[in-house]
Amino acid sequence: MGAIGIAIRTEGLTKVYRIGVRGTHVGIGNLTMEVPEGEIFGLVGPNGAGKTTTLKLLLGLLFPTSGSAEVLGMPLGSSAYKARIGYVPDGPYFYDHLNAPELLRFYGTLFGLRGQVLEERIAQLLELVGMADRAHFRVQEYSKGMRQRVAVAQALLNDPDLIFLDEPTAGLDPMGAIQMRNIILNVRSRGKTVFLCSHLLKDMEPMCDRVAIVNQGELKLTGTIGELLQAGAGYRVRASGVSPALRAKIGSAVPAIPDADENGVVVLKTPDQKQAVEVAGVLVGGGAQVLEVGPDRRTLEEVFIDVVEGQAGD
Amino acid sequence: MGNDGGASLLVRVIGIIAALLGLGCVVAAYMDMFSQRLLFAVLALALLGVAAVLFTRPNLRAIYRVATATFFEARRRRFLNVVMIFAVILIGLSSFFASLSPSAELNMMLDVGLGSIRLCGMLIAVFLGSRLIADEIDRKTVDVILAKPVRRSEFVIGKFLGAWITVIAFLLIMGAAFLIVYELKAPLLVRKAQAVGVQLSLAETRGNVLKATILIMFEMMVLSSVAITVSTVASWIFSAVASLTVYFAGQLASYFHHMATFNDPHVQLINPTIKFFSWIMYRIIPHFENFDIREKIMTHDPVYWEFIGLTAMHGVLYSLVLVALACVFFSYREF
Repeated sequence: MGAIGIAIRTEGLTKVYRIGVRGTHVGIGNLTMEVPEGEIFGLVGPNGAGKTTTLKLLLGLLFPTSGSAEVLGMPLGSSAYKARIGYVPDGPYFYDHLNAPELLRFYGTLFGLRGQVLEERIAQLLELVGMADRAHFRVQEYSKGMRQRVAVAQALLNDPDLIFLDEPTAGLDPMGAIQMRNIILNVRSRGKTVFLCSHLLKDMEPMCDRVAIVNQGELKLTGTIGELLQAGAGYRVRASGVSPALRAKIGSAVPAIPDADENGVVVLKTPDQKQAVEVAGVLVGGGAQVLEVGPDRRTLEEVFIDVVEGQAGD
Repeated sequence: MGNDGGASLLVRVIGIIAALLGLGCVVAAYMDMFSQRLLFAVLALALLGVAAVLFTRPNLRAIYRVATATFFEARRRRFLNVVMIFAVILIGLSSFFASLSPSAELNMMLDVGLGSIRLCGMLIAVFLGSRLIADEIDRKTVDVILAKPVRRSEFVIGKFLGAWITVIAFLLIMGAAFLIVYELKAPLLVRKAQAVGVQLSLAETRGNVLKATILIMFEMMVLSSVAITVSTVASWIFSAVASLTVYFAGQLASYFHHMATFNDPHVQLINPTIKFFSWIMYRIIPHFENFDIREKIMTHDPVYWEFIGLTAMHGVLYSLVLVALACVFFSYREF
């Protein structure tokens, strides 16, 4: 029995690959985590960190060496939970000789869909992923982005409670990436759970509610986006046109003033909100242009680099 | 819940009864207890099939979809079309063999024509069977399918059926080509034979060609199951080589039987180890030579439907065991 509200739960989940006769490689080791229902959960890490291994374990495509996991309250490999999930693989491959509706019809029947219900669902999904006007193309004629869109469509056929996406924005053009993000956010807004694996941190940050960072087969850090990006940070003021005189003037409030970047923008960090407002006032009074005043949030990329470099330093 | 439990128990009881009756029929057919071997073989298959369905509750729709997708994908493979064109050319050439007598020429046509169908059917069964699952794994299309509510065993059974349907389709095309050649050439040979006072019966030969083609279909079913089973644990190349080896060993089944049962106290030619090995081989390998009735056709030996039925049932049982093994092997594979 899985607890209510938890879509995925892993307990010491470990996958060790055999390499040759005696060699081994830990794909993922002792992974214990929970993914609450209705959230977008991002599993991030560099290539080879264990993201896809984790995903395949959860899908029953790999078998754990030790540990256990539940998906939607059911044990790994059960056909019952597979009827309630969707999966978008990395670099999706499909039967090349089919076109998009044929492909979706094939996958739809595997979910037990048929007739008018299936046909309506296919038309609706092709519209959603922007493939309605190119539906007659065969898969072998698709670009990577088109394959990705069809992959999303097939994953949504059964209106899943939980959808797994492996590198969903890889290979997409900026418009495609935005469209993908909107689709994912739309899925979440309907109360579904999304499990994303990616190393494209800029795409993950605006989408994810919660993130886990894995590296070299180990879970290094997990938390909500707010917790991870906010941790230990104060406030910051971004401004341009900061003259040396102004620098001297605000020197007492901001001890370390960095050099301006190539655009002439200086980022000034203060320990609290009050000082940030005061500094901004001084800058405006001195003729500088204040671009932003707000919490000094780190980016996911910065957090990620800290974690990975910390690992390298170990 | 109570009703479900009761229904489930009833289903299991029916399944157990069907399985026991099925096994009883296997024994009855094998021992030839009531001189109705074919009837018992068919009953055995039906009852064991019912038992298997009741116990495993397969998603038949998923199996059907995987099988049809396999067929439509397989028929586009270039090598199959090349093999088929090669077969049609060989069949066409079978009518150009000049011979001493019309009956010998007819026999030559039957031998070469049916032999070509069998050879090309074998190539298709081996290479298609070996590559189907391997290609799904290589192209990662299997990941998406197995992430859906499709059991691994259903996938394997669907692939096997898809392969067999494809082989049958190609065999039917080759068979049709042979029939056309036969119908064009055979009447000429009959007239030629009549001119020298010899009677050739085409009606009997047509029936035998049909029987031979049916047996080739079941022979290729066995071969496809061998190829698919090996491909679940090894590369497609290994699977193709192993399947070809099994196929050719299967042509020597009677030779292995002779070696295993050779028992002349005055002659000590065969080493006991070789006898034992021959016995094992005879018991394990499919007896592919039984599926080849060309010699019987050419020597005008009667080919009874009961023989055809029993040989086909033997092939089906053998294939079922192999496909069951393939399902077990595939359930341990990782992707």
